[in-house]
Amino acid sequence: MGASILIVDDSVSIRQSVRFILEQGGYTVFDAADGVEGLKKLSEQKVQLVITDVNMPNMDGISMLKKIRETEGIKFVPVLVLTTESQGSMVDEGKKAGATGWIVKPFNNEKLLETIKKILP
Amino acid sequence: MSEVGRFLRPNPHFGKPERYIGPGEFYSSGDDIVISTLLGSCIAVSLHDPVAKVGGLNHFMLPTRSGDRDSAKYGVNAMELLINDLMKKGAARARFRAKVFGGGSMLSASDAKVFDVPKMNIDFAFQFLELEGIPVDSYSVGGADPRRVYFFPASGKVLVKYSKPGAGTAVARVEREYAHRLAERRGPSVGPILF
Repeated sequence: MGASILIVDDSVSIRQSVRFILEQGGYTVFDAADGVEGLKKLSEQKVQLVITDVNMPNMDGISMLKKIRETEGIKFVPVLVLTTESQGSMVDEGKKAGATGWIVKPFNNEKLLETIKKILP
Repeated sequence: MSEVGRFLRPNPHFGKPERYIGPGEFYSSGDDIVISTLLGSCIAVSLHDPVAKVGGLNHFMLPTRSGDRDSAKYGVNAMELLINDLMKKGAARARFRAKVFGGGSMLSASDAKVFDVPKMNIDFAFQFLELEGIPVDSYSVGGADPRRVYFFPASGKVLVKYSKPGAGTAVARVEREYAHRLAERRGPSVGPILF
């Protein structure tokens, strides 16, 4: 069985399409609708990668990322940001918060899988 | 956005500033203004949060060259850009009310044979909103004449005016150019970055 990946996005459509792509790529997928739910899932499930949106209700992706980097047991989980945000300042903020990578939507399916393979050999 | 000032112009008919959006654009506001667009086979979705009193309008079309699943992604993106913009202005996803416009049959018959573009776009909009649990309060879709949509973001009200059939040629030309831009665009301008 492939590695487990957690998708955190408030849009059902995005969760569905990313789940489809990842499952096609042989990964096991969990999902969450915001940062709070994402952290809860991370405390319950062992995952090798987190893919998160930035703009979400309750807790945004960058805040969740900061929490992850402060929490023992999950602080070294790679986090890939998948967002409509392409502004340099936002990307820098993500980098500073400890993001592993940044992908701007609409993304290319193959590129997404390629990027994941670089992180999870 | 620095362009806002340039495109915000007074509309003497409504006595409010008007912001016109073209294909591929979106705009949201909580001010007493009017956001307008002209639609042929493209789709415009308005979203309004009645509590935060902010609303926005987008204007998009799915690319027709790529497969179904892929092209829907561009529609999802158009919707997400608007949703995120509204959320930054205090709107809550759970309170959104939607209205759907456009999807007229503007493109030439030869294009229509390959893809029923208007139908594909209309279906996408309704499926997306259903999946996201956003209620649709009203819609004006299909038909053959171009529509001018006036959206009042603070109240969520909309006025639709059908343009004269003659205006269809100009709208179709603008939309064809937009469709070509979409077909030529290969993925986002910012590729995957690994830090």
